[in-house]
Amino acid sequence: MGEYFLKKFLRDDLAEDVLGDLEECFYYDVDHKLTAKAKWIYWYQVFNYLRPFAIKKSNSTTLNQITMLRHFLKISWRSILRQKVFSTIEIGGFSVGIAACILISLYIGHQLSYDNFYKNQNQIYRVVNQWAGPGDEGYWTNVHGPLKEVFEDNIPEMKSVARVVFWSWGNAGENHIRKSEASFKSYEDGFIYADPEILEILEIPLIYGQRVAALAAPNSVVISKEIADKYFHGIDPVGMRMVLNDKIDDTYVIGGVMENRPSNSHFQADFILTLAERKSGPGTSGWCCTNYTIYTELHDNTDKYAVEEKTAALRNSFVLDKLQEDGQGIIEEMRKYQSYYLQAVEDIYLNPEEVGDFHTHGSMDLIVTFGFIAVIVLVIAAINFVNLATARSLKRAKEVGLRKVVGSFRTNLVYQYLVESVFYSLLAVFLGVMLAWIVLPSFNILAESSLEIPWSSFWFIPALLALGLVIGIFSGLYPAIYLSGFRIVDVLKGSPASGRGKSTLRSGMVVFQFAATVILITGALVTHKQFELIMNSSLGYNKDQVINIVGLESMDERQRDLFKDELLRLPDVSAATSSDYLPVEGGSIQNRAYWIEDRRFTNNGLEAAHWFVDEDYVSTMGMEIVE
Amino acid sequence: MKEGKLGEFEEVVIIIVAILADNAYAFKITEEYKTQSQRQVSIGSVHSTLKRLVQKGFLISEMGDPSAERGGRRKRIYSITAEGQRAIKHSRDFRISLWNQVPDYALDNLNFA
Repeated sequence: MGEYFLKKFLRDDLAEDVLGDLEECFYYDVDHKLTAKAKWIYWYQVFNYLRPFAIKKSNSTTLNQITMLRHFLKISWRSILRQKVFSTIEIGGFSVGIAACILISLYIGHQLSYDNFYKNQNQIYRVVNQWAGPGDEGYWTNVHGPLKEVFEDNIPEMKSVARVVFWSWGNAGENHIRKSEASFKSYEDGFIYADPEILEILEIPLIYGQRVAALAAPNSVVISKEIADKYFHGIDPVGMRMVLNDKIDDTYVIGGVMENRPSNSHFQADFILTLAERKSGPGTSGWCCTNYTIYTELHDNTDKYAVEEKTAALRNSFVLDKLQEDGQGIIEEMRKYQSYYLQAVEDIYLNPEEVGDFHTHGSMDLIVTFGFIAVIVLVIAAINFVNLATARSLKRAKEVGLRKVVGSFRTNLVYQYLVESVFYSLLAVFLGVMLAWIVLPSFNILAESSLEIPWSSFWFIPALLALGLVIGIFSGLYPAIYLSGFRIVDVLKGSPASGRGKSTLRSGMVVFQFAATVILITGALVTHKQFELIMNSSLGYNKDQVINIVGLESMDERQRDLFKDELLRLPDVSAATSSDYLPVEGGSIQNRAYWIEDRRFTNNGLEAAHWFVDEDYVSTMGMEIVE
Repeated sequence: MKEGKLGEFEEVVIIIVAILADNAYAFKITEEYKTQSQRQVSIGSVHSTLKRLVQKGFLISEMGDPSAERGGRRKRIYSITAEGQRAIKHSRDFRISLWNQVPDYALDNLNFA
């Protein structure tokens, strides 16, 4: 039992008397106590001999292995140095592959991590409309405002409900802002409206203020840490006032400061204006319009399908009745096709249901594609490594022969080449991580993300080591077996690699490598072409020399004209116009229905967008009037 | 090791070696220490102390006779060197001289029996 273990590590000169002592102790204990306890004590004593003085200095067999390992590493290093160009291609190619793989993995990890960090992860939902008409299906977020109260009063499973306004209504969107005592105002965006409950539902962490109180008072606002640092550096700004767009009516009291929203949340805002007790505009609209996104948190262990059924019942008794009172025409269709759907918070970003909303989204297809590319790149790099290592074998054939002559077994040779390839691949992993680290800032700009290499995560370093080990062993296996199979006489005569010829495996790998590379390059070229088309095709207006000056909302008409005149005076400005709309995605869109005069109630209207522009708009934008 | 200083445990171990005389080997010393001091200690830690004392030159060891209850293995018997004797004598004298300097009224205060 313990004796064997003890002999393993105990110094030989101590073994006799120590074993004697312990045995005597054991039988002494057996006489006085239980045998089981005596055994237990024996083990205790054995472990207490795990002390520096008692342990063998070194073990002869492990010593030999360590020496061999050191020898292999030295040989590996020398063969790197002997063929510098070759080794650079081999290891460099590998590390580029690994760097690409790491970057893509980080990107994928970030995409998948969206809204996955809530304590009540499984209770947080967004209420969306579902339309299941024939040939007309879809989801969208905008719902009626009074639904909040209807839900609160009739669905006890809902712990809390909050409305949010993301679109530019009232002061949502972008504004001029100043501290109430200051006159200097600056332009900020990231304004949204929300009910006070949103802080609890989305578990928004506050640095200053309390979640329950921060948005409870009318005209209160919660600002992000970034904004707080900018305007109230180093002080607790709760209770201070900020004025929007120079309108005294739009004075907001700061109720709290929240942490900057994490980049992996769909819910982005720098200013959350409260919807509580508003007199007009956002927060007051009734059954006329669908202006709100509704979030809700359910109680623990609530079945969301049961809640969805309740919402369907409520739709019939409340929503449709109200709509009928207000005289809206599509009630019959709504009864048939419309329903509410609870979308889990973590689905909002990737949005498999393709809900129409106001957020940017990732795409599962894209993630799968990227993941596929990452694997392909890694496989190509590994195959490249295998092929180069095998090709190198021609030069090393003599070494193999000589090793065999002096009595090396085949297993020793396999072991040697595995050590070598693991060494290379660990080197490549290290270089790859460094490479990824270096190019990450540029990658972040390219992908408009803020990824970081998770150095401090407990799994990161082990995962990399495991990656290096696995790839090293897999890519070393073939060369190792191939090389160690050389016949001594053949190699030493100078006709290496006879007998095996070109194996189908190697040719197969080369073919695969070429095919995959061609596919990837073709894909890149096609994407590039598409991108060029988007960038350069004619859009009916001139976009190259036109710049958009944002943040002029708070100017009145006179100031605006003055500003325009001043602009035109600049020698570099050839034309200027003011308008509320830019013909690009993301501009504010206001659609209305138009009818031919007097036929409002007989014809269907034609929906069209209307833009407020001045007389120079068409010429400045380089547009042409068709008729 | 220069000028061996004795730690408390080391000192006790040397004295126990003195008590046990010809029978001073690691297991016996450990048992003696445990019964005398009512404290737990492993053979390993006693052994490492013995080893250290040998290095310091306070003890020497030699292999003794084999015995049956040890599975026919020999004991390593420790005995005190001249230097070891000097060291424990010095430490004892030091303490006695310290005690002698404690005034009588202070001894009364300490309330020894």
